[in-house]
Parts: sequence; structure tokens; C-alpha cells
Amino acid sequence: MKRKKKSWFLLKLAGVLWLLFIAAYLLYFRNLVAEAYQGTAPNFVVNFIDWVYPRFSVEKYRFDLSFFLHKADQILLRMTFILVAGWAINYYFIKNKPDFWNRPFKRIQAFSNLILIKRIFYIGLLAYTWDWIFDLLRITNLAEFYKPVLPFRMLHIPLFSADFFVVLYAIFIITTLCVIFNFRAVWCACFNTILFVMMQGYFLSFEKIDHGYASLTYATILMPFLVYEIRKNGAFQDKSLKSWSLPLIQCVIAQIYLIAGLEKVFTGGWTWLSPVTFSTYLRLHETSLGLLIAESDFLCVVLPLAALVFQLSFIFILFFPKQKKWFLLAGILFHTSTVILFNVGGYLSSWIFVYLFFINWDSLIKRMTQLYLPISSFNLSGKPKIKVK
Amino acid sequence: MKKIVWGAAFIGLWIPFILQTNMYPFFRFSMFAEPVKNSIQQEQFYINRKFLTGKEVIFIPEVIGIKKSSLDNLLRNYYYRKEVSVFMEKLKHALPDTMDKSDLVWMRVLNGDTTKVGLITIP
Repeated sequence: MKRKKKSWFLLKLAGVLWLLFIAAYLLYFRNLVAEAYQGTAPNFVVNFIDWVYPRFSVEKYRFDLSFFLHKADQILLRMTFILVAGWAINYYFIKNKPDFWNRPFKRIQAFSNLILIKRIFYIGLLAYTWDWIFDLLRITNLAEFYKPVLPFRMLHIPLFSADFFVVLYAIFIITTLCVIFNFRAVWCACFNTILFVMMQGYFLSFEKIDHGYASLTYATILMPFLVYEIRKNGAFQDKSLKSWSLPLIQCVIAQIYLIAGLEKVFTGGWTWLSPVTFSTYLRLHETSLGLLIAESDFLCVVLPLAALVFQLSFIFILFFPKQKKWFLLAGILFHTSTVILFNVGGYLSSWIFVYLFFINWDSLIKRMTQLYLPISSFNLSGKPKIKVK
Repeated sequence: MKKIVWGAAFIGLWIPFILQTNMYPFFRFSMFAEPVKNSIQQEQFYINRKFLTGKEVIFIPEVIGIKKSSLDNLLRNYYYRKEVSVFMEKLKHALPDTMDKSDLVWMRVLNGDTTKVGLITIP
């Protein structure tokens, strides 16, 4: 009873503080946006905007003040949404239905499945980055266009010479191979992550943030924790374990879709579903099927609506694992459609590749071997037990 | 450690969503999210390559090692920062020496109107 009273008091306190913050925003911070737009803002505001929103220097010439005020209001709205949603999830789901809520995070994983995921991921990473060395060498000619991304700006990282990139890429390949072959795997996975982020950072340091490898980047950042878990539990190879890093990677990938869906809802609201928006995007990207679909108002409402429903509902893959094949198929269809209609990404998209984290490779391979090979069981942890039927 | 990593992952995902900006290595997932309200959103830039023979082709940005989407962004940003001549000068330096003599013409398309923004002659 006492605890419940205390939590209600804290909740009310948080509510009052939040209202005060909103009042401060409306009375003071919102005006700073207008001042920044007119070029009369104090230095700390100019520096802050330059730090978090460098595109402002260009966008202010393209859009009027209302566009930026809307963006500023959105910050408050989105913060409020996350706080309210977080509170609601905590009070109504985690406390009332803890079994349902904790289901994705308490799943037992076969150790051999984690090893397979690790190997497939790093082999895939090699496949996706095999030509990065050529791109790295090419950008050395573009030193004059170099505008470093945020962490590079903060750490004053320059655009290095071609020789440096050759060494950087060689170390990246070596660390990837070391993780695959389990040599100093944890350290190599950490180095690998740093090098991947660094190399991609260089590609994105030319005033264009490309999202082609976004989900792969998040997965690469989190992979050292999975490698660490495998290493830590290496002595119990034949057993299962309750992994926390794999559910984390799955949760992050699922949230990416949720965020992309919410972004559309918050930025455009219902107007996003207007056929004009979709048909304009189709016309700008000029693919043959896209131009055909752009003629139909019906399809220009149904297709973005289907995409929105998919993005907002993908998070449920965590809670309904038996239905995951439908979510994954919908995802493959979604990414393939963006290639066909917008010529964005590719058929072998890394967005589809990261679905590997949702697949139980251990049981999949066992089933495949039972189907196609005269072997009744195969221990994937490295000790084959062959029984000929 | 588990809780710190979970918390950091959560922040890394949701901060770009709140601030509506990319904070590499964390991304804002806003592709196609902006509804088309202004004609300025349909504005396009490109570079035409005009040979002495009169033949015209679209300049392929891969020649200087960047993708088309990156070049589009660079053209737009330099245009609005009023640095057209700066861009053309930088482009001239980035071009390979082996390119045939031709003019590179920077074009802007808005509301069906095509205007010339800048021009350089190579080599």
C-alpha cells in the first residue's frame, strides 16, 4: 500500500515537472527556433543546431518558419508520447501480464544456434563489405567535399590517405575472419564493430546519410555482446542458455520498423496516406512499375497503408514467434517492393539479411538434413553423430 | 552490463526519432515519411555533360567515386548555401585527368522549369 502511494506520488511529480517543461518550451525555447531562423539566436542555440541538425543551414532556405516550428513541437510531442507509452506499458502490461511481456526475453536458445548465427552474420558481413576497399580508395579523391559525421567531427577525424584505408580494411577483414574461426573472438568482434562504424562513417561524410546498412549497423554494434555470451558459455556447448544479447538484437531490429512507422504517423499524420504523396515519390524515382502505379489513386493509398501496417506491426514478431515466418515474408516483400518501385536498396538487401537473427538455424538445418540427407541427427556444435538410416 | 547495454540501445534508437535527425551511428528512419506539401520537395538537380560534338549525356557521379543520391544532395546543399562556384571548382579537382574535353552544366528543375545553375569546362 505504502509502495503504491509512493509510486503515485512520483508519477504526479513527474507529471507536474513535465507540465513545467512544456510551459518553459512554449514561453522561451519555441521563440529560439524563430530567432535561429531569422539569424538572431544566441550563440549556444546556433552551435546546438549546428551540432544536432546540420541540415538546418540548407533547409532554412527551402522551407518557411512554420516547418521548423512544427519540427520543434514534434520534439515535445514525441517525448510526451514515449513517456506516456512507456508508463502505460509498464503499468498495464509488464505488471499485469508479465509472462506475455517477458516471453521474448526468457526464451531458451540452443547454444549451437547462437554459434551458427554468429558465423552466418560475420560471413554475411564479409559479403556485404567485400567491395568497400574500392569505395574507400575512391573517396580519397573527394577530400574537398568531406564533411565529417557527428562522431568524426567530435573526435576531429580527418579523411586519411589511401594507404591508411588499405590497412584499415585489412584489419577489418582479419578481425572478421578471427571471429568466424573463434580466435580471440570477443576482442576481434569489438575491433570489427569499431572498424565497420568507422568505414561506414567515411561513406556518410559527404552530406548524405544513406540508410542501406542501418539495421546491419545496429546489429554489428550489438554483435560483440553475443560473441561474449558464446565465449562465456563455451564450456557448456551441448546445452541451451537464456541469451540476453540475441533478444536485444531482435528487439532493436523490430523497433527500427516501429520507429519508421511512427515517423510516418508523426511527420505526416493522415496526409501521409494521401495518394499525392505516394504518387509524387513514385514519379520522382521513375521506375517503370512505379510510374504505372502512380496513375492509380487507389493503389497510391493501399500500398503505403499496407507498408505502414507492416512497419507498425512488425514488433509483434517478438511476441508471436510461431507466426514469425509471416512477418519475415512480409518484410521481404516490403524491401523487394522498395527496390522495384523506388529503385532504393537491392534485392540482396542487408535489411533482409538481418532477419537471420529471427531464424532458428539449428532446428532448420536439422530439419533440412533429415529431409535431404540420410543422416538422422547432426550435432552442430562440432561433434557430428552420424546415424545412417 | 546487461541493463546498461539495453538502455544504451534504447537511447540510440529513440533519440534520433525524438530529435528528428541522424546522429551517426544512430539513424532516423524517415525515408518517404515527409508528406509532399510544397513544390520545393519535388525540386531536382543534375549535371549534364555536353561534348564538343553537341552530344549531351547525364554526368555519371561514380566517375568521381560517389553515388547519384549523394551527388543530388551535394548539388542541393551547395546551391542553397550559395556556393555554386565553390562546388564547380571542387568538382573540377575531383574529376579524373583522362576525361575528354566537355562542358559540365549544372541544372535545376522546379515546377517543370529547367534552369542553368553553373558551368565548367574540362579539362
